[in-house]
Amino acid sequence: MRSPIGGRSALESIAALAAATGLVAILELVLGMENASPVYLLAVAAVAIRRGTIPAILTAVGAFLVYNLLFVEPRITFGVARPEQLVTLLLLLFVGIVIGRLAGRQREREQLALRREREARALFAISRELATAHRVETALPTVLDRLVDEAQLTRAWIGIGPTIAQERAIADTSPEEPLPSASLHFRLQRDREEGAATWTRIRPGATGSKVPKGGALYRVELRTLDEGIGSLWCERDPLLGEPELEQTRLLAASADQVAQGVGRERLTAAAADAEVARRSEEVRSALLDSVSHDLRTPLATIRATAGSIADPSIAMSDEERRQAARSIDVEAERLNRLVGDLLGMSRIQAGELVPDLDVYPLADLVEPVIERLRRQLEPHPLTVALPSDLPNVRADATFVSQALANLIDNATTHAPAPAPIGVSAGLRDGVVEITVEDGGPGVSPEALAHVFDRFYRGERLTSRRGIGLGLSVVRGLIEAMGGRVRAGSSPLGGLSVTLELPVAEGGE
Amino acid sequence: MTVAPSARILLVEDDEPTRRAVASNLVAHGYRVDEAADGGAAVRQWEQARPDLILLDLGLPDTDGISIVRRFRREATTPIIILSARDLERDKVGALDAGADDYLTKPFGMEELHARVRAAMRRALGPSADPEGAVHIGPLSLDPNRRRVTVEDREVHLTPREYELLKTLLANTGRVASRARLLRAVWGTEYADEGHYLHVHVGAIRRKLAEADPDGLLAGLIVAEPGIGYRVSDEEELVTAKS
Repeated sequence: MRSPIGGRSALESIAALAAATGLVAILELVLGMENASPVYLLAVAAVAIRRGTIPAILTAVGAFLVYNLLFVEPRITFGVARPEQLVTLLLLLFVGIVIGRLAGRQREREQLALRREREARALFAISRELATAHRVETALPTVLDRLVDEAQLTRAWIGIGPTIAQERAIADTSPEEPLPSASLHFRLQRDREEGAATWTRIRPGATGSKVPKGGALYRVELRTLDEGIGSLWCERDPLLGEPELEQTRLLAASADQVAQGVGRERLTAAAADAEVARRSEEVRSALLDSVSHDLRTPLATIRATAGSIADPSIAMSDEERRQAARSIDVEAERLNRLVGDLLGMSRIQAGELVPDLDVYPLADLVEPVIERLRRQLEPHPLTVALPSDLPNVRADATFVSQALANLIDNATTHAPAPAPIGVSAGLRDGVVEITVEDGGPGVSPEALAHVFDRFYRGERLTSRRGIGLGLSVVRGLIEAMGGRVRAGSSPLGGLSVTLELPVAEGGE
Repeated sequence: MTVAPSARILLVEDDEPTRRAVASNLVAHGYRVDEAADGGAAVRQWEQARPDLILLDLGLPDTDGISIVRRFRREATTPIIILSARDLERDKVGALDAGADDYLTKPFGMEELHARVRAAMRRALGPSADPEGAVHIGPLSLDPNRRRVTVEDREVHLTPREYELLKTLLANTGRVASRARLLRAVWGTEYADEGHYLHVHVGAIRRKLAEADPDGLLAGLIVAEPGIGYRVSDEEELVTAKS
C-alpha cells in the first residue's frame, strides 16, 4: 500500500462530507429546497475517484448517516418521521454505493495501469543501464538508486558470493553505513514456471530470533543458469509492509538482469583468461622452438669447425685455419646478437627500460652505428642522407644506437647483397625521422602491420636467422623514449622502417 | 706488432676458459701475463709485482670490480681496461669514473683487445705533448700557449668552451672519456649531471674540424660511445683506421 491505510482517506472523506453538508444546509435551510441529498453523491464520487472503492462506500454510508441525522425530521436522531424521506435516504445510500464502486474500480484500473507502466519504464531504464555500461559494476549505483525510488526502499545493496555469509557488497546506496545483520529477513520465493513470487520470512539459526534494527530486510537471490552468485538486498520501512506486486516484480526482474550481467562478465573473463593462457603458451613454445633452433645453428657450426681444427688427422693450411677461426667468430657474433635481443626484450617486458635522455645532434647518433657495422654493410650499395640543418634530438644514445643497429642488421639479413640500403633523416611535423630502407623483397601490405610484433618473422619462416625479436626490440626502445616507429614500403623495393624522435627544445 | 714486448699484464678474470684463452693469446704476442681468478688474488699479485697494465673483469666472485679500480688508482696510474659481460652502461660508467681507462664488452674479439691494450700502453709510456706543451695528432695541432687549433696550418675557430672541450678530449687520447669526466673538466663539478649540451658542443667541434679537413684525415678522431662518453683516437689508431 502506498500510504498507511485509512489516515488520508478518512480525512478526505470527512472533508468531502463536511463540504457536501455545508452545501445541503445552504440549499435546504437557506434557499428552502425540499431535498438536496443528491449533493452527497458528489462527495461520494469525489472520494471514489481520489481514494477508491472502500473509502467511497464508507463515504456513502457516512452521507446516509449525516443526512439522516441533520436534515431528516426529527433532526439529531436517526429516526425517520416520513416514509418518503426513508426512500430518499435509502436511495442516497444505494446510489452512493453504486457510484462509489464504479468510480473506485475505474480509478483502481487506472492506478494499476500507471503502476504497470511505471514498472515497465523502470525495468527498461535498468536494463538499458546494465546493457550499455562498460562493466556491470559501474551501472549498479544507478540501478540501485532507481530501485530505492521505485520500490520505496531506504537502502539497497548487492552482495556477491556463493553464500550469504561469504557475500561482499559490490554496490550499496549507503556505502558509509555498516551492513545490517541478515539474520532475519524476507526471501523472495520464486516459481519460475508460473512466474509467481512470494516473500517468505526467513529466521535462520538459533541467533536469528532478534528483530533487526532499522528497516525490514528483503532478499532477492541473484542466480545465473546454474548457480546462486549473490543477493539483491532491500531495506524498507517495516510499516509499509511487503513490497507491492509490481515492486516485487521489478525487484525480481532487476535481480535477474544483474545476475545475467555478472554471469556474462564472468564467462567473458574466463574466456579471456583461457585465451591469454593459450596465447602465452603458444608464444612460449614459439620462443623455445626459435631460440633452440637459432642458438643451436651457430653452435653446431662452432663445434664442427673447432672439432676440425683440433683433429690431428686433418692437416689444415694456415689460410684454412684462419678461415675456420673467422667462421667461429662470425657465428659467435650471431649468438651474441641473439642473446642481446632476448635480453633487450626481457627488459622491455619487465618495464626496466628507463631512458637516459640527453640532447644530441642526429648525426652523432647515426654515424657511429654505420661505422660500427661497416663490414656488414660493405657488400651493399649504401646511401646515407643526413641533412646538416636538422635540429638536435632528445634521446637515449644507447637506445637509438641499438635500434638503428637492429634495423640495419635486419636490412642486410633480408635484403641480400647487392640490394641497396638507405639511411636518411628529415624533419616532419616537429619530429625528426630516421628511415632505414632496403632494396630487398620487402613484406606484403598485410604483414606490414605485424613486423613489430614479437616473434613475427614474416612469411619466410625458413629464413635462417632471426627469431622476430629485432624489430619488436626497436619498437620497445623507441617507445620508451617517447618516440614512434612505423613500417612501409620503400621506393628501393623493400621494407622501410621509420623512427620518430622528439626534437630537443631550447637546444643551442 | 708488439709495442712493448715484455710489458707485464695483470689479467683478473674468474672464468677459467676465458682467462686461459686471453692469457695464452697475450703470451703469444710477447706480453708477460700474471693471472688472478678473484679480487683477493688480484691485490696479492698487484703487491708482489706492479704490472704495466691491468685487464679487469667487473663481475668477480669476491669483490666488486669498481672497488678494485679505486684501490689500484689510489696507488698508481697504471692503465686499467675493464672487461665486462654486463651490458648495462651504468657499470662501465661507474668503473670509468672510478679511474679505469677503457672497457671491452664481452664477448670481444682478440683484435679489438690488442688494439685497446696497445693504445693504453702508448698512452702510459709517452707524453702526447711536444716540449712546448702543444698536442699533435695527425694534421691536428692544439697549442695551449696561444689557444690555437690548426689542421695542416688552417686555423679552426672554436668558441672558448669548444676549445676547452677539445683540449680535454685530446688529453684523453687512447682512452674513454666519460661524460661526467668531460663535464667536470670543462664546466666544473656542479654541472656534472646536466650534460644537455655536451653532445651538441662535441658535434660542433667535429663539424668545424671536418670543414678544415677536406681529405677526412681526422674522421674518426672523436668517436661517440653511446651512453658513456667519447673515445679519442691517438695518432696510431687514426692511421690504422684509415688503412
